[in-house]
Order: sequence, then C-alpha cells, then structure tokens
Amino acid sequence: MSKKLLEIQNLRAGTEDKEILRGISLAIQPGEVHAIMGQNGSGKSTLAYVLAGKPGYEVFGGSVWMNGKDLLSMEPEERAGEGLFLAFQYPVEIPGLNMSTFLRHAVNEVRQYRGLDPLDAKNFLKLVREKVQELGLSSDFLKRAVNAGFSGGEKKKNEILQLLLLEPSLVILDETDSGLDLDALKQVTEHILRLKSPERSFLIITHYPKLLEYLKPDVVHVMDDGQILCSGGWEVVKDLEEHGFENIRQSVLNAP
Amino acid sequence: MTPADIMAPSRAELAVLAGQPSPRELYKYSPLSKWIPESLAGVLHKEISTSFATKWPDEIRSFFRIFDHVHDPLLRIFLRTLEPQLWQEVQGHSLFSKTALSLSPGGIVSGFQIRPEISDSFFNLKLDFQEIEAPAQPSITGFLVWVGEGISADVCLEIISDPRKAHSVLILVVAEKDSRTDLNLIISGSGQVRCNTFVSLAGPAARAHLRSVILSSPSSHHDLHNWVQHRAPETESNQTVRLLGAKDSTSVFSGQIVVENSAPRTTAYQSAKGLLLDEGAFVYMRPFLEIYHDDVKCSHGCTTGFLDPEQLFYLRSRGISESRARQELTEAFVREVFSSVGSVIQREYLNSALKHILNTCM
Repeated sequence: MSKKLLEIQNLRAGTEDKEILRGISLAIQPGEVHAIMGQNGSGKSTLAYVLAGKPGYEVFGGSVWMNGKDLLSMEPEERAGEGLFLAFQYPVEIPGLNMSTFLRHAVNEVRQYRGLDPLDAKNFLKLVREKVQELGLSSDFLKRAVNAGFSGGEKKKNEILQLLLLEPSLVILDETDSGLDLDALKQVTEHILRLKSPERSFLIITHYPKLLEYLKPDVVHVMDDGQILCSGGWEVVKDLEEHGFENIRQSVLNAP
Repeated sequence: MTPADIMAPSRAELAVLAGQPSPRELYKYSPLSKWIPESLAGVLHKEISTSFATKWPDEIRSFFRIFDHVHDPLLRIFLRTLEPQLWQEVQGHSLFSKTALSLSPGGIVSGFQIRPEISDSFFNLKLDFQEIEAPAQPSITGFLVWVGEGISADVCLEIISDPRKAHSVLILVVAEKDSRTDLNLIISGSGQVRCNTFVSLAGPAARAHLRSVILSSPSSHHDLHNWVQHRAPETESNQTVRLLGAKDSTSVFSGQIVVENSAPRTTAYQSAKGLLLDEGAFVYMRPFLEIYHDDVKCSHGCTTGFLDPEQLFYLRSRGISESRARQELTEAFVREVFSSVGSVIQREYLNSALKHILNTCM
C-alpha cells in the first residue's frame, strides 16, 4: 500500500461550545477521488473548514496527517503551501483587491513555501493569462476586484483558476456544484476532470449525484450527524438515489 | 533638534493654552468655533476686518451668500472677512506644498481659489503641514472651488497633519449648471486636522462626487465634516468615505445632505465605512439627511468594524501570510473609494499616493 496523502483519525471538532464532528476517520491515497454526501447540517462543510484551518473552529480530539505532517498544528497559509486547497462554496467578495495582485501574492507565497523562486511579473502574467484563457474567461477578468460582482459561474471558475495556479495535491470541493446551471456545471466539471492525476487527490462534498457522475469517485462516504455512516463505491450513490437517505440510516442502524 | 522644536509647545499644552478640553471629548462633532481657539478668531478678525471695507467682486459676494445660513459663527467670520486678494489662484495640473502657506497674513489664514475654465481640468494639491516651518499655532486654509456652467473638474487634495499644531481646512465648492466636480481627499499624518467641506449644487443637473479617505497614525485626530446642499433640480451628489483607525487614534466623519425645496428629482448618496485596525482606535460617524422635497432619491449607509475574518481566511487559505493578507485587505478597503474615478491617470495618482502613505505610515 502506497503512502497516504491524508489521514484523518477519529477527528472530533466543532465550534466553541458545540461538537459537530464526532469521530471522523478516513484515509486518502494519492490520486484517489473521495466523495462525501450527507444532508444539510451533517457536518460536511465543517470538515472542510477544519481541514483548511478556518479560525472559529476548535479541534477537541483526534489527528489529521498530510504527507506525514501534523496538519492541525499548521496555519491556514502553511496548509496551502503543503498542497491543500479548499474550493469554497461561497467565495467571499473583496472589493478593492485586484485579481492579479491577489493571484500574484498567492502564487509566489506558495512557491516560496515549496522552495521555488518567485515568478517575475512577466512570467506570472504569461502563466495567468494562459489559464484565464483556458477557462474561457475574458482578459479583463484579472483587472476586476476579487469575486466582486462575479456571477455564480464566474465565482466557481475563479476557484478553479486558483486551483490551476496553486497546483495542490489535495483538492477539497465544497459543494462546487451549488448555484450552477447544468451547462456551467458541465464546464466546471470538465476543468476539474482535466486536473485529475496520479499525484492529485480530491475530496468532493456534495448533495447531488450529478457532479459525481462526471468525476467518478473511488470511495463514497455518507455522513450523518458528524460521523461517517457508511463508505463504499459507486453503489452507495445508487443506493442513496433509489432509497433515499433515511432508509440508509435505518438499515445501518438496524444492522446487526 | 532645532530651536524651533524645543520652542514648540506640545499638542496637549497647546490645547490647554487655547482653553480646549481633551481632544477625544472636544472634537467629536464639535462646531468649528470650538476647534479653532478664540485667540485665533481674534487674530482673524483684527487682521482682516481692517481691509473688509474694500470692494468685493459681485461673484464673491453671491458666493458667500450661498453659505449665509451656515450658522457656525467662526466660519461666518472667515467667509465674510476674507479679503478677495488673499485667494491665490491655483494653476491646474499642478502640485504645490509648503511655499503657498507663507503667503498668508501671519501664517495662519490662507485662501486658494480654483476656477477651472476648461473641462477635464484637474488639480492635484498637497497640503503638508509637517513641512511648514511656522510657529506652532493653529491655522485655517481655505479652498474655493468654483466650477462654472458645463465644466468638469477633478480636484485631489492630500492633507498631512502635523503633531505640533491643530489645523483646519475649509473647502467650499460651488457647482453651476451641468457641471461635474470630483473632489478626492486623502487625510493622513500624526496630528490634528479638521476638514470642513461645503458643497453647493447651485445649478440644475450639477453633479459632485466626494471621495474621502481618512488614514490615521497612533494618537492622530482627523475630522471630516461634509455638508452637501442641493439647491437646483436634477442635481446629483455622491459621497464615499473610508476611515482607517490606527492605535489610539480618533477619526470623525459627519456628513450632511440638505435637499432644498427648490431641488426636485435630486439624487444623493452617501456611503461611509470605518475600519478599526488596532486597540484604542475610535471611529465616529454621523450621517444625516435634511430633505425638503418629496421627489428625491437619497440613501446613506454607515458601518464600522474590524477586518472581515471571512476575507482574511480566504486569502490565507490561498497561501498568503496573515500579515500580508491584513495589509492587502486594508489597502483594498481604502482603494475601493477611488475605483470610481473616471480618469485612469487620476486614479493611478490617487492610488499611488495612498500606497505611499500606507507603506510609510501605517
């Protein structure tokens, strides 16, 4: 068995006074695609935020290892340098901060963390323009303020743009399919598909099987009340679609 | 240390000499007469009223009548006694600083007149009180911006306060029919400055956009009072204000919009935001509207807070260090003000001025 990219062991976490994740364990190998499905409030997004290091969340117990390093002791920016990338469900708008300034700082600080030389202005622009074109965004996209006044599709594409530039090894997609029409969903999914590689793993958080149909996860976890109810292959998605969430919960609870 | 430095009383001593209470208590929303000590009022009156009887051009007369109902007594003294010859013509496209002030009598009152004659004129002015080698006493600097019919003009004024003395700046704008005035203001420094901006939209369809950024340094006190009066139909005003609160600083914005009965179909907006950067930072804001006609569109928004943790986390999750993220977000907060400046050259000028101040002082 190859080295694990991410290993979560009995993770218990939540907000100040409320435990939301009640003992989560899962391991992701390089190149694997994992999906987490579950109802609203089951703790899916909390898991994503705790992994990314969002302030305001507290870890009560358990551990998370990424590339053999203790992820939970790192600052959010260190986690990004280490190769973790969270694509936000609702990316925040930052009026006044220019896209290209933002991307240049992000790319160069991550490069610095990884021991690479910073890109000079010319090479950076060349790289970023290439990616902007690849995503079918207009060239003045870089002159706009970060996410300010972006359409739903543009916001998600902006997340993918950052993903392309920062070249992470673990991508967490937090309901990337929400707020997109079918065409936009297809477009975004195609870009994600192109990012699949033997070195890059995905953790996809979603309500809907549609996104998973395209991305074909290796493992599907069903989350309920801060715990993983069951895990399996594609058959879990089928099961959810056919029998609904409540039935799965009943059958798991009634199992001997 | 030069002899001048040794002689210069501290700000606290100055305040006591002038009979002022502590800065934090006094300057909140205080009328101008409290800001400028009585002694200065006396000097003003004595020095200038002797020549008051001399002839006044009609246009200056009518200009001052516009402000007749401004009840601040000291402002009235200032407006009424200021000898027209004191108004120095400011050339467009120029940048001036220290020398201009020494032209005023006693080094305490100076007036500058800005009268663009062609459209798309711009005036980039800098008032650096730190560079003025004057005795440590308060001063008033007045700017009369007169934008004639159909003219469009951009005025950028950078004010840098000085800890040795308290200063007051008056900006009077008269906008005639179909004119456009953009007034961009950056206040910074480590001392006390009070800036009063009076804008009179006197002709139909006159438009004015006031953009102001107040940056503070530890223990600075910066005060901005906007007063925008709509006198004619279909006039339009817009105020965008951002205040940055450094450690133990006080920043004040009070913004009044007056829509007279003679100004139907008026549009007036005001947006003011304060950002508290450190402990002991105070930001006071007071927006108010006075509307005497039904057919108008007016709105105002006013918030004060800390850096948005969501924005901070977003940048950090992309590998940007916390200190850099804070710096970028702070800059973004103030930079947003100038994003609506029409001329690219002006926008660049303002943004580079901002960047310079943020890099050196904050």
